[in-house]
Amino acid sequence: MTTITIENIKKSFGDADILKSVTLDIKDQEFTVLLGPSGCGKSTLLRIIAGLETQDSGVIKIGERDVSALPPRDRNVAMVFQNYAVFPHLTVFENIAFGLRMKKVSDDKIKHNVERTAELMHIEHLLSRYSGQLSGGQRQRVAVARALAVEPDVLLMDEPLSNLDALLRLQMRSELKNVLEESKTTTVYVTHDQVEAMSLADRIAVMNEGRIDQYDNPDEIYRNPATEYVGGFIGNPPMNFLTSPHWSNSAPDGAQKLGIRPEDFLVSMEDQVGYLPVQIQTIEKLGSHQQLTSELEGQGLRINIASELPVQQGGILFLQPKPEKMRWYDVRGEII
Amino acid sequence: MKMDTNNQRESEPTPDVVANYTSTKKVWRWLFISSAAFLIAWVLFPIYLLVVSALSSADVVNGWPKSFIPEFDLETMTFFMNYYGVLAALKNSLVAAAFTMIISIGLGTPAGYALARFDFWGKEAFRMIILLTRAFPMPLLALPLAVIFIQVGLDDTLFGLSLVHASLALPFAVLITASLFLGIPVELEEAAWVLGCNRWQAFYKVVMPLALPGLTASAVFAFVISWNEVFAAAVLTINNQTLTAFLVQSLSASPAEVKFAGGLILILPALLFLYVVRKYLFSMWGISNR
Amino acid sequence: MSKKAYPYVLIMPSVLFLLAFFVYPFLQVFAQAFTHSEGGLTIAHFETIFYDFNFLPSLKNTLLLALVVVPAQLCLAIGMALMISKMEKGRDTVLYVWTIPLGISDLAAGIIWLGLLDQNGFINSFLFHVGIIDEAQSWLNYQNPWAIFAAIVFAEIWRATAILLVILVSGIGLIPKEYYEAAEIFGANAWVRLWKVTLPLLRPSLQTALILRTLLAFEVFAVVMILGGSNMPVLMGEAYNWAFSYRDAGAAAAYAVVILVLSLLFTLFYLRVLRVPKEAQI
Repeated sequence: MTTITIENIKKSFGDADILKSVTLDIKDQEFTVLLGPSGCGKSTLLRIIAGLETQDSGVIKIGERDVSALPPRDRNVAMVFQNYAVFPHLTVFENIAFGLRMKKVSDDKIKHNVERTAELMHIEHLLSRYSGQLSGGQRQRVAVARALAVEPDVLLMDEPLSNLDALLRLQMRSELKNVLEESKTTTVYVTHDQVEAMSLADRIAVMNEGRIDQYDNPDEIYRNPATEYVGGFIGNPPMNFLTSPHWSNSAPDGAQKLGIRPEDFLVSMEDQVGYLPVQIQTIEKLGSHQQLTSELEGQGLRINIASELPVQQGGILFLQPKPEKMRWYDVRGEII
Repeated sequence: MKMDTNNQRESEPTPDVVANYTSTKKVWRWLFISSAAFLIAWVLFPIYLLVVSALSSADVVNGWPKSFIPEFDLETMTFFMNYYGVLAALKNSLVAAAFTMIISIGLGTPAGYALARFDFWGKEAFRMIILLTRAFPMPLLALPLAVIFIQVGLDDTLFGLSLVHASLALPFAVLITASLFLGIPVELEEAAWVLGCNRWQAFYKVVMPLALPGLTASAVFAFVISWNEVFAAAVLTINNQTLTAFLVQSLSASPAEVKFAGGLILILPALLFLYVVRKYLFSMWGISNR
Repeated sequence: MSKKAYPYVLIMPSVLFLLAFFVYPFLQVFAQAFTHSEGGLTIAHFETIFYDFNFLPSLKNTLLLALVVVPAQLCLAIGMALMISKMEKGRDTVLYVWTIPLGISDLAAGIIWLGLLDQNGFINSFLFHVGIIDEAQSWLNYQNPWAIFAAIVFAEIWRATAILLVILVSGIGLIPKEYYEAAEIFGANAWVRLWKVTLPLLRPSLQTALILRTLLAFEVFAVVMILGGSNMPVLMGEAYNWAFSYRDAGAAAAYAVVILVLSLLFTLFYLRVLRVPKEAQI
């Protein structure tokens, strides 16, 4: 059982509060993604879990063990770094064996573990090479193999795919998903890429200026963004937020804004009851659909519509939000 | 070097202009190569002539006119080696240089590591002191130290001399090692920590092997600083003279063979030194002091 | 040990060492220069050296040498650094050769040039071989102070241009080549690019190089001893003579103070003249 319990973690560098009391419960074998823009504190949180940074206050538990004050070497975690950090002076074999050697594991067991993880990452033919002889993707594989070889309680990954080119990233993403699902290791993964987060995570923790706005599974995060911030961060284009629109007859008490995703509109070319006219400003044809930027009562509105609809720039379109998709947010930007 | 002709604004360059342009380019190219060659000769030729002198017989060294081709006669070198005091001076130079190397690397490496890896109160002040040492004629400090060394019994010792030489070499060692460690990604160390190393294990298992060539270079540099230093050596040693002190103090008394052979012995480490440090030449002067 | 203590533990040895062998002797130089052998403040040591017949010539020679050598070396080093930056093939080899003198002491450099310029030297031999002179000429004697001066200038330029070269080459390496391309597109030729792009952006490196090199020029010692002997007194040589030959530590310290003050003045001068506001750096 390796759960991770993070309680009231605070951290500041000088005057900047990087983490403002973060609490998170990660379940055994769960794949958690910390998602947010740069500077939101996600990497700091990961490094605190690893023990590379020390929190100002708060508690970290791995399983039942309080590791808050332990150095990284005593936490039984493994980490994959953004720039891979494959030791240049060691062969791939010795890189993967590094953590096991530190644990004084027997040579037989080392050989077995190294070969097994190398096979898992499809790098068994590279074991005698040095990192200088490897491509970026191969280094990435070595870094993951090195982390898995020590059979850690917790696997930490800091933007591991961000240095790969787009195509390789897609391939590694699906491979990582399979490997990690199989290894059943509790994983915390940091990224700023929402697609990566959506596709990999069991649960996503969306971070905003040192706080966790929402911690839930990807579908829930997409459908019911807990805050205006989450709705605006997830989805491309993001959720629309409209202040006191004419559709607010169904609005609950205290509702300030209507949140509605661009694809959640009923669209008509003619005026109908309950529909409002919007003026189309730009049209982007994306093949599977068209993405419109339009204006409703002086507020910007992004809409995705079927690609067959004959719309024109400057033209008028009639809209109604699907009632079951409407979300209401209060003054503080929180969902009602 | 490239030279632009002044007709570039014309829309259609005439063949004439193009030909003119290429010929100017040719002239520049020729000038470039010949001045580079001249400067190479300017550096190498005097050294070559020293080798010619050092590898000639005594008659030739003291004779005239001189030939520009070496005889490959070892008489001068042998004479030098047997000259009274030379062997001892040579040994003293090596010992003082070795001490200097050990002191400056031994003290400088940890400080360089601290500058590269930590942010701490007083860091800028420390860096300033290090840089400041270079804005002073350090060998002069041998003058008061000569007096102090007499008081503490370090006068005329190689250890005392190497302390002064180390104060010359230490600032360089700190700056070189700092830039060396800065060049080693901190993630490599962090990866080692996560994989079970404590700070010291991570340093000698990961950082050390990667920094070793650079550390060697800065050690060699410290060696050469001491090997070449004349003023402090001449002031601080009397019976335990180093080679430079020996040569400078017996200038008028010693025959030409001793000078030229001594000169050759003196520059040998220089050639080796530059070969070893050529990769680190630029971090050597801590030029990133902006 | 707390994490905060690490850096202090690491720098402590070198701090203590520098306090003992840099700061303390540095203060001691002044103490020696301004105190009497029985204690008490005095300027007697300065009077001793000021009234010595070698003081003014040594001051003049040192300053003159620096004044001639440093600018010549600077121009040469800029030229060499620009050439290096334009080289593709053989860049490393050329740089290696050009920086060889870096490892050569001024003593060895003096010996090398003595071999060339001596009465029995190679230059005389060459002149004889091509038939310009019939017998060995003595250049480096007291009748030819300018020849001695010129010889030292040559030896110094030969030996110590390399350090400027290294600093400038790395400085040029820091200038992104987009600046040159931008200047070229806006119509600047090579000459204009040198004056409007390279040199202004190189100012921090020029500053470092000039400070370092000028201070080294004030320390000129062994070259002069070999090529000029007593015919060419310089400050550092006089300090050495007072310390070693006349056994007068106070007067030697007074010379040291003169050299230190000169160094300080020139450092401040360069810092002021070549000042680059932080915002205007690369």
